[in-house]
Amino acid sequence: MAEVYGEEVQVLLVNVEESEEMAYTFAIEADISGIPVLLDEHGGLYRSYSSAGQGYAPFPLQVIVDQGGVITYIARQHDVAAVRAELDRLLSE
Amino acid sequence: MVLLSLACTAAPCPAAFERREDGNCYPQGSPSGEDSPRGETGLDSEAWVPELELGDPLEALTGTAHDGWEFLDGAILEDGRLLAMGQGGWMLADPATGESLATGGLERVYRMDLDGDRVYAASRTGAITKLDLSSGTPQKSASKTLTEGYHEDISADGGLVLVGAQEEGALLLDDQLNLLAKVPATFAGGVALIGEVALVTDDDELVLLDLGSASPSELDRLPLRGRGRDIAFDGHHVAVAMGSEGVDVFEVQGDRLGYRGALDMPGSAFNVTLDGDMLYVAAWEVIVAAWLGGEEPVVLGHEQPIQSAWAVAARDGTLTVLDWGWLTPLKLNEGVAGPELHPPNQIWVSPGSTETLAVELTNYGAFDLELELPDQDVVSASPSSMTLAPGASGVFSLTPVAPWKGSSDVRLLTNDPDEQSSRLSLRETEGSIGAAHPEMVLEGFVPPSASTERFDLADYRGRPVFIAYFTTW
Repeated sequence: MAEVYGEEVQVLLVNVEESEEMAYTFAIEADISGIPVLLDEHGGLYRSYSSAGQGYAPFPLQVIVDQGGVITYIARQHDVAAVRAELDRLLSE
Repeated sequence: MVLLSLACTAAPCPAAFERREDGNCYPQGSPSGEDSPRGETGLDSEAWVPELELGDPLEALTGTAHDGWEFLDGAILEDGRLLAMGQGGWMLADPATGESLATGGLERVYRMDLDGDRVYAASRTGAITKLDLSSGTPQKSASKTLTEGYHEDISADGGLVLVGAQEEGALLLDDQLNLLAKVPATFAGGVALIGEVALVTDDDELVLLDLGSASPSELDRLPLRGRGRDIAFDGHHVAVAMGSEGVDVFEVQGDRLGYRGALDMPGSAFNVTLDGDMLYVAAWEVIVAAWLGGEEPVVLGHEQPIQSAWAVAARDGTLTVLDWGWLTPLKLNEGVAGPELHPPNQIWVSPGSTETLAVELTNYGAFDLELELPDQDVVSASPSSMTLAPGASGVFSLTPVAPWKGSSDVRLLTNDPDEQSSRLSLRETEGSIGAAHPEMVLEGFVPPSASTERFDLADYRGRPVFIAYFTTW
């Protein structure tokens, strides 16, 4: 997403409940560069979304927040088309 | 005594299966009669019906916390000690208390398997390591990095080792970790090996292989309801964990696979373990005990872990949950089963809302689940009580009696032995679509730099923000 949208969209990766060392090693191995990797050490934010609960695939969890800080998208799957459609919608507003 | 009716466990057949006249699920188009999944067993199905009393089949006992450890897999050794592995290395522990007896460092283990007094441990992305237990404590005796990708599962028996290596297929190794053969697969996930019989999940199919010839040869292949991640196999019973799709149960009958049934559960089925006719599933949110002695698998009950259930180590009735930072012993109460309720952690209500909420509850257990909502001061409930058959779901409609504000618990009375006074926790919406994102101030770094700084979501106002939560496993 960062490559597609550049500066227009801020991408944040959030590691859930793992050590900084593990998250860092993973980021380097995955060639992640220039994108903030945040640490949700106790999973508090991860669990704060209303779709959290039973019967879900735990990861990935993807969230889009609009220019005003309002959540417009929550998905527990990696649906590139849906994410791009939502970001395009927000950028065209 | 209550006679458990197998009819109660009948759930819809998974995709690519059909229900036939005898009430069982069979692969679509598969031959009937002697080639059918139960055709070769010759047993009278009546004799398989377990007699069970209402009770709590699975109880968590007092466990032990281990700071800095993240246990992912483990096994109980022949001498009765628990070998637990994960982030932190290996730990030998007392399975009855979870207390540590000895520890040693090792690259983070994702999956492991025992072969006599040898242990084979697979990291997620790095090496496969062999440890020798003959001295009483694990001693590293070989280690090899064979792939550039991910390891999903490992199994060892009789000096052979099989590794599920996703797109690289299943790797067959000798006891010195030399590559003997590759079994091609779209996505090799779970693997299992006993003697010359091997099982591999290839994406959403289960493959039976013969290792007796010069190169592994495929004998049979059946569909799964989802992508396989782990296999438990004792030479007869086969259970495949498929994450959020639950568990599919099969049996090996000579050179054929027979489908036995599906198990559904909350959470994500990560690890399956067999101990006789008992199957244990570690599904993060719950530990599931199921009985495979019958014609179809039957869930006897659930237990909630302290943190997150990654694996169950089981041998001859001794059970311990690898519970992320805890080792938690479990007790199986034989001859009993319960209804099983797994209420949602939270039910979210928009501030000021008086709209009716639909709360769906499922009975994951083996007996009828009785539910009652006795207090209706913050919400009015319709119906105020219901009974759910095993596997059935029902919906309570909850309507706030006044514009919603803050958080309230609604008492839920059940006959689930370990959830007798449960609650539905109604909370004012935080992170839902249309609501402001909760405050988000976290430490982090911007690779390749490793220096830590603070990030605040509020600093990005004016731009859309795409947030992707991830883990390294």
